[in-house]
Amino acid sequence: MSKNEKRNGFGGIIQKCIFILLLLVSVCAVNRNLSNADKRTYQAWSGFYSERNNSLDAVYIGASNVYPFWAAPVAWHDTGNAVYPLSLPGLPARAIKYVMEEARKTQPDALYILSLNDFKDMNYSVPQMHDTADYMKVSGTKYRMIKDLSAHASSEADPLEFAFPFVRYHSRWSELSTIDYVYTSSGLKAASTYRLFLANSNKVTDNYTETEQTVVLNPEQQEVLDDLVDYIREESVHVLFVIAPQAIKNESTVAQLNMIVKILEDSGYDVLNLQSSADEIGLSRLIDYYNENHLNVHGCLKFTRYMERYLQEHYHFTDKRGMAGYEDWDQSYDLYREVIDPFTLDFERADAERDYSLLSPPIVSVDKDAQGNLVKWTPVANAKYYDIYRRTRDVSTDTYMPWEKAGSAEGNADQYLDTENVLPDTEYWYTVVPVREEGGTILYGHFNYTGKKVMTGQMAPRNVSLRSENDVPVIYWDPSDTADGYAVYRKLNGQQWCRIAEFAAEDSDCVYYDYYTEPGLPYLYSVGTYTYRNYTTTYGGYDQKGLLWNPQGLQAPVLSGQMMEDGNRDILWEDIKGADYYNVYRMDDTGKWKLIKGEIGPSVQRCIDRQVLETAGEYTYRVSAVLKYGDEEMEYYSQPLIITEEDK
Amino acid sequence: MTFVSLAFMVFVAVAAALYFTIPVSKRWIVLLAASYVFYFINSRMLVLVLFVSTLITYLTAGKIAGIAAAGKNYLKENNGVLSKEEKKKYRADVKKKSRNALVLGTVVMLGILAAAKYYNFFAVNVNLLLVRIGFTLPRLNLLLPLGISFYTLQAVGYMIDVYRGKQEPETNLFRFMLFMSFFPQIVQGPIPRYRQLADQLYEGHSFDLQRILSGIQLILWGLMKKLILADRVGAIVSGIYDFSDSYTGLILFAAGALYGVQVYADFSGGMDIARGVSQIFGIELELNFRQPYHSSSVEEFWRRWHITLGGWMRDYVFYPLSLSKTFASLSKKSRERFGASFGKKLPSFLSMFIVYFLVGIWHGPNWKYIAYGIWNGIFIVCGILFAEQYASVLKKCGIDEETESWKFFRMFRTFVIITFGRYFSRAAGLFAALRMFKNTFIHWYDLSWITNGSLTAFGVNTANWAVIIVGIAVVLWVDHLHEKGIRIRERISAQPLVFRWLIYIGAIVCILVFGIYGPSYNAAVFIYEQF
Repeated sequence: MSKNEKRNGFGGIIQKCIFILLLLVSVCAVNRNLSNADKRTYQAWSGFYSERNNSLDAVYIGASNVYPFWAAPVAWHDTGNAVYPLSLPGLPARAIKYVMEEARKTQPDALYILSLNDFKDMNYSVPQMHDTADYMKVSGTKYRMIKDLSAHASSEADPLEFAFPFVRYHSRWSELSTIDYVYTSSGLKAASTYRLFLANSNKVTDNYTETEQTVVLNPEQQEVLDDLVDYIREESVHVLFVIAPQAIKNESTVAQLNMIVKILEDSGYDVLNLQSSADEIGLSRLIDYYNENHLNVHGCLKFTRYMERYLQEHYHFTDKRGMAGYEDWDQSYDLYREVIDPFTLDFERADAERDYSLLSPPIVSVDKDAQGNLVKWTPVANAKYYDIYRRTRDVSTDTYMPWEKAGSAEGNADQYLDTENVLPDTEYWYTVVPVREEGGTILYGHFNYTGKKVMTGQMAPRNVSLRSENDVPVIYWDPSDTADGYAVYRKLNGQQWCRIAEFAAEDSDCVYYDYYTEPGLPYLYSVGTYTYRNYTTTYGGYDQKGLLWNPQGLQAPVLSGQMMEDGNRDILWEDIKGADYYNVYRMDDTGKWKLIKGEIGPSVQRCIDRQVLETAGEYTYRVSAVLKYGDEEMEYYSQPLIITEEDK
Repeated sequence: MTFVSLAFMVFVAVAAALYFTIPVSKRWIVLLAASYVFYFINSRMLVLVLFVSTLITYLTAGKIAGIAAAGKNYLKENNGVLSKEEKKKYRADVKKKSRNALVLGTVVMLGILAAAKYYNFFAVNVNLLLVRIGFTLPRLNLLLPLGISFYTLQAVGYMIDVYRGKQEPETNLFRFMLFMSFFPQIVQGPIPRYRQLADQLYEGHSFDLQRILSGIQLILWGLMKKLILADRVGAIVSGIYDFSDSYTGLILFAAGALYGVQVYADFSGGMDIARGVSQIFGIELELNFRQPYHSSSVEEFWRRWHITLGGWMRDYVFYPLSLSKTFASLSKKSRERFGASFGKKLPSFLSMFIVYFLVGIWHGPNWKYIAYGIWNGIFIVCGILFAEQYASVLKKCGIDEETESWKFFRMFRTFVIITFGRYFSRAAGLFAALRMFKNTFIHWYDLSWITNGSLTAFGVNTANWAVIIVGIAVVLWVDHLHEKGIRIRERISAQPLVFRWLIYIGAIVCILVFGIYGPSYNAAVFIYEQF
């Protein structure tokens, strides 16, 4: 048997079948990885297809006016209702019918919540068609949808490219990234994880129009709406139409939506028009949107809470929490918490009561301090107190850790020093939440969602203390886990800090004896840390107030003086080391000392008293050397000095 | 339905399926039907022009053959009756009648080509003269029938062969229609000879899987050259040529070189597809390229580039001209005036010059193409004219022409001349090409365009440049292997199964991923399809 005959025989047929199979696998791999359809639609479809038949209470269909509004895991956690968002970014209104048809193949008894916002713009592009169709299972529904959409798309579509999306997208081979190879369901029930959704906040007040007027629909809107209603009627689909509160600038667009609402209500369908209900929902157009069409995670939580209550009131779905077969919904909530925790506060997630009359306190600054981070804000009216939240960010991976409450401050406070477990060299973000109470209920106000950041340096060691042992100042401190060593600082009061000693952390007992003090002088001590990286020593902060070593007190000033020719008295004294300043007193007629001039010097050691007292022929003075330590002032008085006419 | 469309692949598959399912003797009918369907899909009612041209050629050849046969019969019947003088006179009359028929057929065929392709060029240039007397020729918006430049030469060559008695005329009109319309070659050649192609078309070929797979390999190779290399390079070439006045220095030469890559990958890729498709049906088309960039002279380049056009010009223009009485007379006179050596070569020079003038104008109705032809003609004629002096100089300089370095130098020199010639064929016009010449030598030493981002300013990023460089390297490597006589497809077939499959699947995946096609791109039509 020749080689060719062998190849053409049965073995050859098998061989060629294997070749074709391998070729198909290769082409499919290319097709899959080069596809550029929005990965959110993959999550939406793959998540939907993984739901058990007839297990959903509702399916919420729409474009990107669904996923930033409806967080299904949160609603599940709150109510036990399984409402799946089949949210396909860029979904053309014309495709809603087909998506619903596809969904009803496995969820025939579910309520279908249909977003009418998709009727705003009837134009769509071929890439939008891909976003809708590429991850949909192959079926007659998909084929009819593509055919229908192709006939009305803004540009010509090649039917082949929907069977093989790489026909359109293969040019992006040089732009592929890891995400293009990842096809695993997130398990988040299509809840949004979009970065802008989580982290951004934009004011949309300028893009907002409200009207109750209606206008005639354009022919395409009318045709698509009629087609959709016909399908719903023929198939007896249980539907709820919803208009989500987007910021729509064009008045006629709002009027068109109003007209659609009117048509549907007149036809007896349930319509929930929330276009003008932002306030009722608690949405702020200043901060709850990441752009005019999409809520951010904070707005999403508010909208979800509103919608879940509406659905509970009107549709009475069974609470399925704990029921067999819904474990993945519980998991979805746990997973989603990991996503939203770094961007939301505990009371938001817990659906705590809110008072939106409490404005967001403007954060003035966040500065690093030797002891921690100092947050300053401008107080707002009606706040009983402020909760200060903080989170950290891993700069190398741009990953935020969950917000945590750092502490609270009184209602009249305007700053908070966060010292608890503040790590060095870490990026911290702080936000301040105004809180008040009413009838025992805690009400949280608005707050800055993003917060303000500070990068900490190396922290000073904790519990620095100063003791005297045999008249020698001894400084103690707690060891630091992050420092490579410690530096001890000292200064004579009124002068500059000097680093007087350094210890490597591993060699240090965290104690320093200072044998080199001059008796009778006040010293201040402080301890800082340092790090040693790449042959460079970086010194961290240390307490600038320091600890005072002043066992003997300041020396008292020694006075001299004279009566001047013009009758004024000139008082002089010696400089006192360590004094912050001097106070000059004069004894009055009753024998009491009266301060006639304070806070002199410390570089000036002279005072001329020009006040002439008629009742006395002599004047008695004393001067104190003052040592100021924090709010405390320690005065060391001189002996009295009497000046008379004879002293002229 | 271009060669690089999925529709064409499906079309070929359906045609092949039909071809191999009907009796062998009738299989040519499938090819005829497929060819006319293909032509109709691409050109709609212009298929009538093809049919009329076919009919004219068929009738002319029949007439020529008829005159010759009648003359032969007459002489045979009157063998003893006619005197030698009468026979000679009769033969001259027959030949004259045949020639008249040939001239008529040729003029009509070339007339159709001229009207469709060159009329407006003629009118525009004549109007420059006529405008002074207040008269202008109107311009016509005629559609150019697909492949007219190719099938017209094919038809004229066929008629001349019949006239020369080298070829019996085809008596079956439908079979002749197939010869004139065979779909893989009608778009951009190769320009076939009847004796080389016709029998293959008519005989009917059996199903041979190995041959079909070999054809598919050739198609894949052609697609790779066209879609991955030619169209990718085309973006850069257009970016520079379309704004050529904005550039100075060697970037213009680089654009010319890249255009050379583009046109080679495009044309030879198209040829490979045509040959691959033909192979599926058991038909071997003539080679149109033989590693042209391995040429050591311009003259050799044109023997390796578009071989069937060169062959056609040689057989139907060069030899008839250079061996004509007129040129012989001219040679005689010039020998007397300029010496024996020059006078002997003069007919060749003139014929060569005319051939390249025609090659130039064949490419299109534009002065730039005429200049393109003349550019090549000048170098070829000079090469012949100064061959002795050149050899003498080399000898004096002690240069061994057999060394690899000298061979490489000659290849490089040819490449440079050909590249400068590309200025004419690709530039917007003759004057634009001349300006490019001038601008190439302005700041030619400034090579900052290599690093300053100019090369990635045409929508071709670094990754795409990498594909281009690898693509050029692969094409050169394959050419090198061919030059050494290695038959790559046979080599691949001899490899272990896994290796073969890796190559096949890899080639397909490369085309799918790196090819310039689909809605994201405006895939370019084949360059020679426009000629």
